[in-house]
Amino acid sequence: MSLQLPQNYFDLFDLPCASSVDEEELTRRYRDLQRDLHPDRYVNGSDRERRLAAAAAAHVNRGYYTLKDQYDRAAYLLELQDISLDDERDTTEDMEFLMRQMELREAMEELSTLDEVQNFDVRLDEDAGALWSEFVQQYDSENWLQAREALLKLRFYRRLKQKVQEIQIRLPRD
Amino acid sequence: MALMQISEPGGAPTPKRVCGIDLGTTHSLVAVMRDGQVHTLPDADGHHRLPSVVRYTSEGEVYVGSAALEADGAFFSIKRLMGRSAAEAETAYPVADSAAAVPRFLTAGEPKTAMEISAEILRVLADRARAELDGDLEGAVITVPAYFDEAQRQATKDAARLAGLRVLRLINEPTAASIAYGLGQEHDGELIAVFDLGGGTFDISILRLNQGVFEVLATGGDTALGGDDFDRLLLDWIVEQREADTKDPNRVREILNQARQVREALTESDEAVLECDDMEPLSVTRARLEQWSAPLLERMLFCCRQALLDAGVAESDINDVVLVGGMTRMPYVRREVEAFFGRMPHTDLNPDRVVALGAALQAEALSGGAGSDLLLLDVTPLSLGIEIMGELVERVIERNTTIPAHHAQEFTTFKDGQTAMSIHVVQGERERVADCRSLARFELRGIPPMVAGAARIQVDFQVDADGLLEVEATERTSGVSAGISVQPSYGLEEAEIERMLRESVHHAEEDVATRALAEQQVEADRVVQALQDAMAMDGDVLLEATEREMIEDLMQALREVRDGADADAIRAAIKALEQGCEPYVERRMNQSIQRVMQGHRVEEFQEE
Repeated sequence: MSLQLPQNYFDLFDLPCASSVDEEELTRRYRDLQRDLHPDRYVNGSDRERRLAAAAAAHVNRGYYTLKDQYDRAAYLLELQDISLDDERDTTEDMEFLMRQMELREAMEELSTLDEVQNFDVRLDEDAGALWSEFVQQYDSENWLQAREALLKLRFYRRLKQKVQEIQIRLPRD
Repeated sequence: MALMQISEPGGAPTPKRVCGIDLGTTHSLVAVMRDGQVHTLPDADGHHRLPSVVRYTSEGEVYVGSAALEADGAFFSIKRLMGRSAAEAETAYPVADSAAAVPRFLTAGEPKTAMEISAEILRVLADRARAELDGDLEGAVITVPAYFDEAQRQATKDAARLAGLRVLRLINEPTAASIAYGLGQEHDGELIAVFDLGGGTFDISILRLNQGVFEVLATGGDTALGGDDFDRLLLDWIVEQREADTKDPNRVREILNQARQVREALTESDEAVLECDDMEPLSVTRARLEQWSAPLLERMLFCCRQALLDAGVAESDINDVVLVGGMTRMPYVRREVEAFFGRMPHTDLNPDRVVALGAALQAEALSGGAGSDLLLLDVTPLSLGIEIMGELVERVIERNTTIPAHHAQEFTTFKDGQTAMSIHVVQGERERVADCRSLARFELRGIPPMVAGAARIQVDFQVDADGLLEVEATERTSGVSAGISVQPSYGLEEAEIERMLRESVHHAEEDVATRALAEQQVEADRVVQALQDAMAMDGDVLLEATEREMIEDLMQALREVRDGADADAIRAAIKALEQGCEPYVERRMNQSIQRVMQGHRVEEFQEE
């Protein structure tokens, strides 16, 4: 298949390759691309045409969600620098940080009211915000490995936040 | 022009003969566009809703709808059994062979699959549309619950094929409903929650609308939660109060029927009386029914919270709430939904018809008629993954991923010298394979012998716009590959579909060959028309004279066989033409990519 679609997601959405993106512009470009490339535009076309359109639309979808999500975007930026991040194997070796994670895990297990969940969530956001700043600073200074370290830590918070949300929707309401 | 879904400058768009079908658990409807408005179509007696009930007789006759209810042995709520295994289906109706991959239910005549039974309903609706549109149907948009899994979607498509319908697209019921409401016209970025409670299923979807682009952010629900469950609550109470015999299925059905009427009556009044033959009348208040149904409502609101979470929005961000499904008439449901989202839901369209109306609008838009600017960006309702060591699931595509989607993951071999790998594709949110739905299995063979962990096997998952999956596995160092279009484990094989088509009562009456020929002729005309339109637009620019000549020759060859009597020859000529056009098709696609990359929408190009 030879679709002349930019492989680089930043090029695809005509955005500067940077740690932050103009989300409004990203979304606007996304819709424009889908409006013309989505397979629904080729319902009467040949099988080949529909498959090409589906491949193009899938690429656009993947790119959009990668750039939209802060963590995924950061991992993608590192990928562009040939720095990989394996979900299973790679982790931080900062013991102090890992201890803090254990404390947070334990605190999370204790959450039993919506208020507690909200307060805990605020704590998580503060920590994650600091790590993000760290990532941006290291990335901008082209310290790829330090940026990767910040991102590995950020991943803990991403997972914690998901867990907290799962707890939250199961809590009894008044 | 057809290929790009844009009408030629100056030319009036040709009216399309398409329809939208709401294939419901308890009722089904069909809608078409007429004079710029969509309407549901009634039967001869003026009923728009066709009861989703089918009965076969020993003489091989089929009754669909109210007529099916006139004798015992009818199939109800067959939608619940679509894409299900014999073990699951057996609890509802006796099956011919409980070991068969695809369960066949015993009827007074031949045993039938859920797909064949659903196809009977689709046929009746398609005939209604044909009569209204005055001719052959070019295609239909069929709605499915957002929460339908791969197997259920494939089963729905198979049913359509058995009914002789070309499926333009399967769309989710809640999305159809929001299209029908024409929401999102006023301001950008509007967030909509669609709360859909039908006879057998519950769906909640969160959508964002922007200038005709409908983005489904998240969808959730429960395929086994609906009006029937409310009736069951009443049934349990009646049985307890009157010590009714629950062993007699006819008796249970009779009481359930009464229960439904009482439940419906309680929508209007505070109290209703249940009367069943040879039973003391029983009085029920609305308050009691609400008290009993509280756990059902809690289950629904839980799904709502999950969907909001997946969408990454809060209750208070929602701008509009749309109610779908007859069950949302229940005051208790309305009250709870209003309290949850903190706003009055839209109720101006008939909740029974709104899905079919939306499907008809989408059918029009897809076929290049009114509203071609409409674009649906749907999501996969459930996560897709493959089985890994320890009977665990490794997710490849997470639930609520926008489709079409293409994700790849790398795996490796477990043993030294392993030359084959079995790929087991599953769907679901749980970690253990046993708790997920098995979709398909296939084997990648011919992996060069290597030490364990050295092979690099890339598994590609591709989900198309209908939510249907294709999986391919490739060993990267050698390039060996294997793949399948996922035919769900409980789905029909291609050969089976063909056999059913041949055997089908409806096709026995006409000549199968004649029908196949007619289908190929329609297809030939469609292909030629689309190509002519395309070449009129950019053939001069994108095609060399020799290429154009070659395509013209292939087109001429197709025209020559088109009026003959050989369906296979037409099929082959279509294929040859499509193959000959492949480079052209790619160039056109790349041309439109270039246009959009330059920031010029194709439409803008055309209109100037």
